[in-house]
Amino acid sequence: MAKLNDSGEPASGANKLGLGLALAFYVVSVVMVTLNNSDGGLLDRGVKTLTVAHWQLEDGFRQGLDAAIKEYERMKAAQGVKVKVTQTTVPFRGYQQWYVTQLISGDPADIIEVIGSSQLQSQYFLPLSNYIAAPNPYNQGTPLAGLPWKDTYIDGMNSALDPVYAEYFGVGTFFHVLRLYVNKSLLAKATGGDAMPKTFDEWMDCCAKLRAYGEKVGEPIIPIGVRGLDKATVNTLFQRTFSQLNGNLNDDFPRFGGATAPNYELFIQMAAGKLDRERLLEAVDLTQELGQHFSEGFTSTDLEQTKFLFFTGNVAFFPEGTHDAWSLVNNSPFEVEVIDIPTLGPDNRYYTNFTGRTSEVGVGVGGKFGVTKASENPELALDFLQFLTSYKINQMTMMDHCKWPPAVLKAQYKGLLEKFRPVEGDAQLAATAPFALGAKSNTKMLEALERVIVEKPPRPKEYFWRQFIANLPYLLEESTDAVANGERQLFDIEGQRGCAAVGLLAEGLGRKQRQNLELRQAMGLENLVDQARQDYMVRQGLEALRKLERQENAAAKEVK
Amino acid sequence: MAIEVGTSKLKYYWQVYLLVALPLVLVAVFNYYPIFNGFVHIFYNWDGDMIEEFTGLDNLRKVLHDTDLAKSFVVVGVFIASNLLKMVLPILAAVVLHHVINERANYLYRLMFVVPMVVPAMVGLLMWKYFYEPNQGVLNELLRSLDLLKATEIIQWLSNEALVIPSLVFAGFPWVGAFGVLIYLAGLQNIPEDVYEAADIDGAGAFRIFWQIELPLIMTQVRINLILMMIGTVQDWQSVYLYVGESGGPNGVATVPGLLIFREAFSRGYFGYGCAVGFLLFLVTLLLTFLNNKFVRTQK
Amino acid sequence: MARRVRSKLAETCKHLFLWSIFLCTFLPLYLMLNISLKDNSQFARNPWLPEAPFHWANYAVGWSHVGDKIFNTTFIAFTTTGLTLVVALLGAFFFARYKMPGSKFLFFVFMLLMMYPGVANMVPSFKLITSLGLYNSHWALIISGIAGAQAFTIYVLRNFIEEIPQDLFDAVEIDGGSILHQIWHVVVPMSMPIIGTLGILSVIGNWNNFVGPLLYLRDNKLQVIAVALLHLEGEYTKNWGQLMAGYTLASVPLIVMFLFCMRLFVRGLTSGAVKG
Repeated sequence: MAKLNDSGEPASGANKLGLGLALAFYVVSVVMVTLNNSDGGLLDRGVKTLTVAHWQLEDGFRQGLDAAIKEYERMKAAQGVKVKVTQTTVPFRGYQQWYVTQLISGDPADIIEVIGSSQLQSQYFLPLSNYIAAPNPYNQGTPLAGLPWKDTYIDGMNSALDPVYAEYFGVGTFFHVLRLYVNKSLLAKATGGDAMPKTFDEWMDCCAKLRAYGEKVGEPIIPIGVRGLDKATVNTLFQRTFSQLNGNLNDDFPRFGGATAPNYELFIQMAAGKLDRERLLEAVDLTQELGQHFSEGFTSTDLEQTKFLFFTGNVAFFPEGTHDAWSLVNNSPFEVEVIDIPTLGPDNRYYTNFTGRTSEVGVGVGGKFGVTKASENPELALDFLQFLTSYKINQMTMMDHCKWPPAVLKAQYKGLLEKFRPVEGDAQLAATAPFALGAKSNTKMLEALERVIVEKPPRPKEYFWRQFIANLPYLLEESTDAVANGERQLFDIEGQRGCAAVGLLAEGLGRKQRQNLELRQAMGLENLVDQARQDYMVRQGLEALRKLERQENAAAKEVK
Repeated sequence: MAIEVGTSKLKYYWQVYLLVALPLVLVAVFNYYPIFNGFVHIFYNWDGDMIEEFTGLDNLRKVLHDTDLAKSFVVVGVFIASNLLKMVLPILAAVVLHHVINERANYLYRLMFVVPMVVPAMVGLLMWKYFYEPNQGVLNELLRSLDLLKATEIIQWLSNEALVIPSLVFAGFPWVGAFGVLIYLAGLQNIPEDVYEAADIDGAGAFRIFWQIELPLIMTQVRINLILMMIGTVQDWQSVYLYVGESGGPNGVATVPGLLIFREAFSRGYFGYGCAVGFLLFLVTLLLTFLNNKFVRTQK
Repeated sequence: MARRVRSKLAETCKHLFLWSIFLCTFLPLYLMLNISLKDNSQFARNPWLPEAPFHWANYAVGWSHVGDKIFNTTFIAFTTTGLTLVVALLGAFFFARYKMPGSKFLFFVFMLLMMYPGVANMVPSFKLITSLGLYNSHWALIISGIAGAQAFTIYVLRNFIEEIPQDLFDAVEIDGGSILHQIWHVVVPMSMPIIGTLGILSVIGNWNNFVGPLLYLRDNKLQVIAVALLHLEGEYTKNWGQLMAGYTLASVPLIVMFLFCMRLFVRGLTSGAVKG
């Protein structure tokens, strides 16, 4: 067979060589691909495989998990069980879609980092409540031995509890707090000393000196680098300041025996005129002062850019979560100091209203990993999770590798991580500012704060209050949604109770099973009552918001 | 030339059907079955897995009332209009190339047009994404070195509502895909010499030659490319996904219908709705093809 | 194409125009290569011009990220292309050489598909592929790739085969050749250019496809270059040099392949395929 090209000449040598090379490369590919899938080969030899899927691409996380995996495989091999665990990751941007398609396909990874609605979780993930109540076998010989798995967590696994189903669909692995990262050399150059600011006013002082320094050397120095866009730091800083001045709200207005005052309760009190408005708005004043040291155009800056500016030495103070700690400390060409965000001190004009530092206990635990129902080795997967969240291993993965605070109790913070130890003890529980309810109103509040900073109105408190009143329609909308959601929630919970009731009718139930179902019913009833109370409060809150709107509009008309 | 086989001779020739059996089965299973399955599921609330309840015209009603979907079609309109303008440069490039006298340069240039096409599309798109990167990307660096931007200032090309669509439109400058250029070139090369000689005798200038001779003679290719471009732009969503992710940019302003389907079905789990929007896109494509047939076939 | 040289000026303008276009099209490539040899500090200082020392180590890191994926992509692209051509050849032969009862209808069945937007099939196709148990395997992409390419490939091949002179077929038939014999000894040699072009187009198309892998491939180790590069770009700490080295490595196979087939490709592109 003669190979001819279109002009009738025999195919040139180059073409033949090319074809030959292509074929050779193809054969190599086939070999590599089959080798890659050699798990299939391993399966014949009785090797069990586990796949762990997550989106934590931060420095050190994957390495930490790899170290834990090696340890686990080694330990299991010593017990005579052959296991191979693989990590597979996707950037957060594409995680939602990858996650949902996996679950729908019927062939998801064995262990996945859990996100999404309660319904989605209950549909695809194994309920873990039975295991949560028993001790973690891998905690033997540690300070946490004998404690139920749930109680080995700093938050008692509260954040992993799904309210609708009263069930745990996953277990967390780390938590985060907010800290201030300082460019030590830059600060030293500007202030002429090594001292870190301890109070808010000292901080403002440092910032002023930094600005002066920047002007002196003619370089763009940004005292405080924040990010705008979504998850803006401004909101967080405002909330922290608010909480330090209004912690009394939690003591004065708790509801239904809770430890903190719910948002809706505060709206009700505001509408009834029982709150000191001036005091509520003091934080706005302080935020305006703080904001003068942000960069120009901070409203459209994102995390990447602020980090970049920090690395290039243009930013002195960077308030950010501990999830970025290691990459910031490691990758900066200068020395980075980590300190608590300075709280208000006696030198501050509002100090009379100071109610204490904000506690960080009970900050949510993240990195929730669950076992999928479709997994082929669920017991093994669960075993691995217990291993991963055991006292020794959790600290190893989190603290040794990615420098994150681990989720377990009594963790030993050493070195850099000393600074991440959550604030507790004499600290107050956080009070949430009653100016936003949901996503939309949060964005509006953020915009108001940004305007307060950028436009510098002479009376920021009043300005902010006007903005809040103007944004009431959003809060009303969100409250109406909350009422509807609450009703839906009631139906869901009642549905759960119904299922438990049907279960109890089954024949041949063992005693443990019966107890379990009855427990479910009882928890469901508690949730139901709780939800009903919430609904009642939300409805009252809705009324209060409407009353507030009427009051303010009437007042505005009078002024005219 | 082909062997005619009537029904009478069938029993001798029936094996021939086996030839087409394989492609037919593949196409029936992997293309037609999904088409029909997709159509049926327009009337269902389907999560792709366990939930499959008949909801009648709900999805269609949702399609008609979906403002995001309507806005995505507006975005597609913008892209079609800009793609129309982007067709000019390849035509121009082909004409100029055609008129380059030096044979070796001509061959070299043709080669140079094709080389970038062999670079994987993903790499090209990612390079442009790098151009638009706010901190260290090429565009901002350029502006900084020209002193149009301060050292710590950035322009968020892809995160700014007002800038994202123009950035997407501008990406890929100068928009000379080798496909267009070489195809037009082939068309131009078919123009016989006598036409040019006649034009020379008439003393026609270069512009007149282009406008009255060359352009009309490559019009068929242009028209084909035009309709392919329109149908392609209506369906294309991959580049938007690459630049701004499944959310479709800040506040989702750059969402196109294809991206909407991807997001609604594979991120939110609304498979039924995804089928409905898909069907809508099919109707739009059908309409465009129909218009094309009427428009193109008139002048052959 | 001997025509009066109008003026040196006009010629230079043409060359300048084309070169300015090339400057823009090759700039991304130049930058990619340039940056791939820098480390982060060199990059921050000056991304435009090459700067010694050159960090060839970036390529080692790039390979560790992208290497496996190149093999995956090659496997998928070449297998899909090979099988597509074989299957389509059979179909095209059927339509070109025989007018059987129902031929017209069957052809219409294939042509109709060219009109259906792939985007609309994303959703039900996903369901089909997963029900067949092909999720998270390369075969999901290969089989759907073969099926999707049939319509266009059969159309182009049929046109080509129809042009093959009857005598060649007669000669083989007289020698007692079966259909497959005819295909192998007559059709394939005569259609080499168009097969080559279609093959190259198919390989490039498969190489660039990222939606399929995005939906159907769950595991990192099975992933394809296109998606792997996208994920690489989404990492938090970006080392630009290594990233660009990864991009370059991902481009190499296609460029090499192209260098060998360029004549074939350019010719095939401007002649046969265009008649469509």
